[in-house]
Amino acid sequence: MKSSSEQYLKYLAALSLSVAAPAVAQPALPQVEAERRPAMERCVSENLQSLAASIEMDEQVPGAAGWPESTHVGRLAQLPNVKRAETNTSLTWLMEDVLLELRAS
Amino acid sequence: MSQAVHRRMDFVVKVSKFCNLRCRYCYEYESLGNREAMSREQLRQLYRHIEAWRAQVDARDQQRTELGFIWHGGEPLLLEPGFYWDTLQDQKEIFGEDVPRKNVLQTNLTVLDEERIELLRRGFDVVGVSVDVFGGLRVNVAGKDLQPQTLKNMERLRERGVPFSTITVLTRANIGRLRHIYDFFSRAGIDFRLLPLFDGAFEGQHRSFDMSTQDILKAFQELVDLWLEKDGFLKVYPTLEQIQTVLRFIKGNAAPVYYNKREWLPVLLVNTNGDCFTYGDPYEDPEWCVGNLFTTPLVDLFAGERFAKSALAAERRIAQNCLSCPYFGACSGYPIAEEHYNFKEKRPDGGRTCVVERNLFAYIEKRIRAQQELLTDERVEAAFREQPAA
Repeated sequence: MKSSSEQYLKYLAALSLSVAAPAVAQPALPQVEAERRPAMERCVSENLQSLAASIEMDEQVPGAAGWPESTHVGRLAQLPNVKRAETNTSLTWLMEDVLLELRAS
Repeated sequence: MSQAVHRRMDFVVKVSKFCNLRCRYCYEYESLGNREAMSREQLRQLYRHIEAWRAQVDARDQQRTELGFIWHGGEPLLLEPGFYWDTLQDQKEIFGEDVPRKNVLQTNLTVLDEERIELLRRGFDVVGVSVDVFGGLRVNVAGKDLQPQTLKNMERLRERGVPFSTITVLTRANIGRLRHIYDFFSRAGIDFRLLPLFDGAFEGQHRSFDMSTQDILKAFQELVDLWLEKDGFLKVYPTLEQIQTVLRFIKGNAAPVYYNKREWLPVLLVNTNGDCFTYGDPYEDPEWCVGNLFTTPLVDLFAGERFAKSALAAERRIAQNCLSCPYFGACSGYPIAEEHYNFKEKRPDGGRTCVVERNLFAYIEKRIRAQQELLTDERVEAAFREQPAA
């Protein structure tokens, strides 16, 4: 960990003591259970694999290791070439199709 | 200094509040009839103040900063294209060719002619289109839903080879249709960002379509499920950023990330009159204006008491929420520091509570770990494996 990060964490810790309510574990809201959907696991694997690979690529960017930590905020790794959906579909037609599916469901 | 871009700062430029729509949830609702716009000279002054700051911090840090200008309104395409060509030319003059910058335009895309198509194609790096797919809240002054017009114009952009992504505002009016919204964008091959409703412009504006924090959490959970399950890799935000955070957490040895607003502010909103606000603070509240970028150098703005107050408030939120959070370091703390959808949940002392990300990250982790075979998949292992030094 970089020394600037250590100093920042110490500062935050001191700040947490100075406010009215100390840092406490947050109450968890009821969660939607994660369901297993075996038929979908191939896609899960492919999508996650692509994203995981993008993180690895991202950390190979020259100079990245020296970036101030805060500059990582909101930064998504450069994504590798990924399979894209067909893009020549009429959007108006597609909207009507989605509405039909919705009414049928 | 290398030519690689090391960091980025975005300026959300509220070039004019004037709009041809009256989207029922718009936080600018009461200003949408105001034709006032930033002038060319005000923008030139804005660029000069930004460039003076950029040159200083890049020289100091030996880093290279990319500047982002996100043109926002109102409806920015109601201004004449010549206005943008002029100001883009001014950018070239003031920043020069070597300062990396991107111009993004966020539009309702209901007003589009040949001149504007050419402007979007050649003048801007990224076009963002606002489209909710369901809900019927994006209406004109007469109350007519103009989404069909937006869809037609999206088709025109595609025909002309102008790439764009979309922003979908999440409300109670479309929260039950997430699967169909995802299907629509997935089949169209269009990236999208799901943006929970901002606070309204006046009391009661959102009465019929407001959401609780738990509604937002559940919607993000559903979006994670859809992204994981659907065939084809679609760029869906903030889902990709959220899953990436959890992958970094699971990986364990990734460099920690801590949001430090004083060290680097990733985005600053510049209002039509030049007043600036950061995202974690109450918008247009004079008490939280960090300075005016038409009249004040950015260097002075960051050194001012107003910005120090804003930074301290963000640090308190991080200190109160993140130090006990297992995901801190993989998550930078930015969501509780700045994201608007965490504004509603309050601690007993009045401070904000991180509900959305804290619970969402746990959900994503559970979802990923539930698939043990995935975690041992050699392809994923290979992706996580440290690469040998070049």
